[in-house]
Amino acid sequence: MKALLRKDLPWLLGFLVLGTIGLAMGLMEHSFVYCFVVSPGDREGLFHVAWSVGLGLGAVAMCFDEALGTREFLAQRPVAITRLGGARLLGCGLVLLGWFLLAPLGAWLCFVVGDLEYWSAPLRQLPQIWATLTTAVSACAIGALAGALPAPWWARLLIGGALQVTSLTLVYHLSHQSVTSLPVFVVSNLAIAALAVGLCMVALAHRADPDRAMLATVRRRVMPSLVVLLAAFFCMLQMEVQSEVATRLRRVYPRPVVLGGKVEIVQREDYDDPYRIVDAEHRAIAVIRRPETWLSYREPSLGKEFLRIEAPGSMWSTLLWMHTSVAGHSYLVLDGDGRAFWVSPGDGVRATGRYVTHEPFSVGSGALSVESGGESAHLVRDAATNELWRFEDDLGHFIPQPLSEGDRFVGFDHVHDEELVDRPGVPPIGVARNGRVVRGERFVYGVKGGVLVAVGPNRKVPSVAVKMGRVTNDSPLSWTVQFDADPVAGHAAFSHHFTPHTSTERKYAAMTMGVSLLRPPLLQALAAVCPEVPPASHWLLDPLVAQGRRWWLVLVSITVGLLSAWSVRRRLRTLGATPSTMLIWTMLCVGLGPFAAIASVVCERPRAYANRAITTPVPLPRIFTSCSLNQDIA
Amino acid sequence: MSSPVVTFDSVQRWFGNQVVLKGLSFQVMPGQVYALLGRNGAGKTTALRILLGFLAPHVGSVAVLGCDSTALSPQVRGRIGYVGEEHRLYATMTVAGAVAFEAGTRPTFRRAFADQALQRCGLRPSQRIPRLSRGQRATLSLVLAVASNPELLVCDDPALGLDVVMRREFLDALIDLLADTGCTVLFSSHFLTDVERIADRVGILHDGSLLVDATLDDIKRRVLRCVWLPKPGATLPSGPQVLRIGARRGGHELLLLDAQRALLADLAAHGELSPPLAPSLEDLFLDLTGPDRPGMLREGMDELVARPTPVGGQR
Repeated sequence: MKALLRKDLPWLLGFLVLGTIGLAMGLMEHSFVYCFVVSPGDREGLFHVAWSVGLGLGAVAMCFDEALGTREFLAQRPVAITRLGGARLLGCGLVLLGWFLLAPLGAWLCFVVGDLEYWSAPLRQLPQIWATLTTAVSACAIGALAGALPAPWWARLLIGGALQVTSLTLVYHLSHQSVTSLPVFVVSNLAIAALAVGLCMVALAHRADPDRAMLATVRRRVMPSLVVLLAAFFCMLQMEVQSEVATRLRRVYPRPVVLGGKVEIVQREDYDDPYRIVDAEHRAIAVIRRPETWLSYREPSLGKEFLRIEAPGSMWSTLLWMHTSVAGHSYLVLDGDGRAFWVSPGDGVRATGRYVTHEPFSVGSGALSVESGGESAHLVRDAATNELWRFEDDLGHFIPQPLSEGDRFVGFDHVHDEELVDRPGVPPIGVARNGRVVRGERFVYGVKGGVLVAVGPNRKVPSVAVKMGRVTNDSPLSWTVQFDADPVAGHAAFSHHFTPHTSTERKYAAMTMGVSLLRPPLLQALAAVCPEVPPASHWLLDPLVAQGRRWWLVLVSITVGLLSAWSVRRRLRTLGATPSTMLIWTMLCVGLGPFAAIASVVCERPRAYANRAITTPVPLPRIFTSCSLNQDIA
Repeated sequence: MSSPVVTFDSVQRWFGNQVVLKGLSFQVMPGQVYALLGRNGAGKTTALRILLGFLAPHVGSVAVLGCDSTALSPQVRGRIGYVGEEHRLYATMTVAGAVAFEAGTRPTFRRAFADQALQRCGLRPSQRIPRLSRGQRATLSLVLAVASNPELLVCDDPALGLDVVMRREFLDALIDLLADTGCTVLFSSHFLTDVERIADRVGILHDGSLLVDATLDDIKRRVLRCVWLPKPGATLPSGPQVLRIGARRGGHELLLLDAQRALLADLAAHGELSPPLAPSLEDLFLDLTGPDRPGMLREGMDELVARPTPVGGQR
């Protein structure tokens, strides 16, 4: 094993060094505090570097000897293939371990060299950093699996990419369901890694022979499942495309507005263009500068995007962190779990909190600085008690900040112009326009002498609630909106059926439906008979045909599927495939449509069916010495 | 009688439309040095790759040390040494590193033997692999393969690309090492003079099957070459004893197999016959596989020797 690791030293060291540098740089996209002390919200840089280098590591580990031309030099020695694979995976494990230790250490060293005061700061975010790095583990295993597949390089590349995107999406959806997602994230990444490693060891034992047809057992048992899995991935891609195009269609549809007591629909081509009032068929009939009031309604959607390559982190915090500067050079940071820190360039990072004991706030507490009259106060609202706490620079901790008797905290807010005009009498302190204040149920509070003082009564009038429109006959491409007469908003009743009329609208609608035609016919038929398709299932069941809409799309899909099956069957018969092979692919094409046809072309190559066996016996060599005679003479 | 170390049994292998082996059958007996000869693309490397289990035969089977080549266990692989055409070694290693790698992956590797052999060949342990000349790399590959004490040594054109001096040195090293070990050797080569020096038996592979599979002694004993100037009216000889008839200065160059005295006397009676001599291996190879010798292809041979030439008459 040591000898095998030694020959892999070039890529082991290369990935260890370059990966560590990349990951450390990914960590350092944030400042020291948001890297090691409090959650930065998300860790985009670290996450993307982690899965990229992980994938590369796994793929290189499995393809190193192939790329170097030493595969046969290695394969001819008395080492079992599982041991060879095990040595490569062990190498990957060592590099990953190195990344887990060295990347945070490297980033920490860089920060500390920049500011020595950071050396004693608490490294509370290490678990989050390590959790994010588990992405590299799963990506490495996927890379190894793709690299070990008995397939041509381009197929390995495609399958590896598809598996990686699917894995990231799967982990995202699994771990985005709850606030306790960090363990879910870690466990799902490790589970994917374990599965991929197992499959990798199986794949290593197989070799591809493009001159041989697929084994009957593989074709019957493994290949259909693989094609169905890839078809599911293909469905996700289709969903992404459809969703994007449908969003563009919704953007070009006109929007309802109130104009002169009437509801009109307006649209504009570009941001700088004036609005055009359009008729029921979306033809421009007039131009206006700006509508009086926008009316809104819930637009039907084509479902949420499913494929996700998103960094974790934000899901591990219950609330966004906030910070506020203190005395112009230092600042306070409140983490999502209620822990506060005072960061100053000369003193590093110090923990702070309630009272001198620095008790943490409740999870989900919020912070803001209130500014008025050139003064500022740094406040935290405790989420559990709804009490305000003010930071005392001199004391270095937070103390209670009561409001006027009987008043309750409502929120942090900006002072609006109308409130300044409406404020009776001379204000006790000068509140700048758009200054930040605390709004209680009864009073608005500003800062004077470093403490909160009631500035005036809270006169904020709730904004007028304009009724939303009702949507009927909703489908992702066309729907009807109805607005009842509304005396508050000052408009009469209105109804409009949104459907593609202009060339741009038709283009987007055609693109959406075009993608629909490539969806698996079986799923299209299923979607058509389903009473309702939840948005989470839109990647699988097409919402364009759900609830019996657009039967013609289903029929065309089925026709496309049947045509695919017919052409595939014909091709396979020409190649000389067995009836069972033709049956499998015919069924897959009928069920999955053109995707299965493409898969059959990729899997069933003409070369594999070119049986060039010579049946006539080959004559003996013209000059021949019997081995036994030779042996006897010897 | 001991069982063969290598047995090719009607092996066929094709790559797409190109059929490389068309039913290759031969055996290599223990202790034998078998040279597989053939022109470029004849299928030598494919045959050796099938033997080592890197490729599977499409038809037929290959047994090596009693095991099927498609299912060689690590234990069987440990009994086979291999020197590849390109002498692939890890470019990041030194000579000492390559020795350590072999020692770490081959339980039977004899380190002392390797060190001694490398010293004899003038290779220093600190030399880096990329700095070695092609000849030195070939020698190192050979030493590493032989040091693991294999029962079967497979060499795929090991002297390819070496100059005459390096080739000679390589060959001497091979002979020395073989003298020490006495293992069975199956090698392919383009250098027929080298083959004549070390091989016991040769197989000439042409168009996917063997034209010759015989010991060198047997070839020398059974194949004769002579020039025959026929008298007017004499017909060309034919039959299984005539391997080839070529035109030469108004006469014919005859390649005869197991020529009987009667045939030679008959030829002498109907023309002028030079003293029959055993051809060199290179001459035999050229006669059998050369591009200007279409008649030497086995299928067309009988037809060619039966066809009268313009100079001949009724005999």
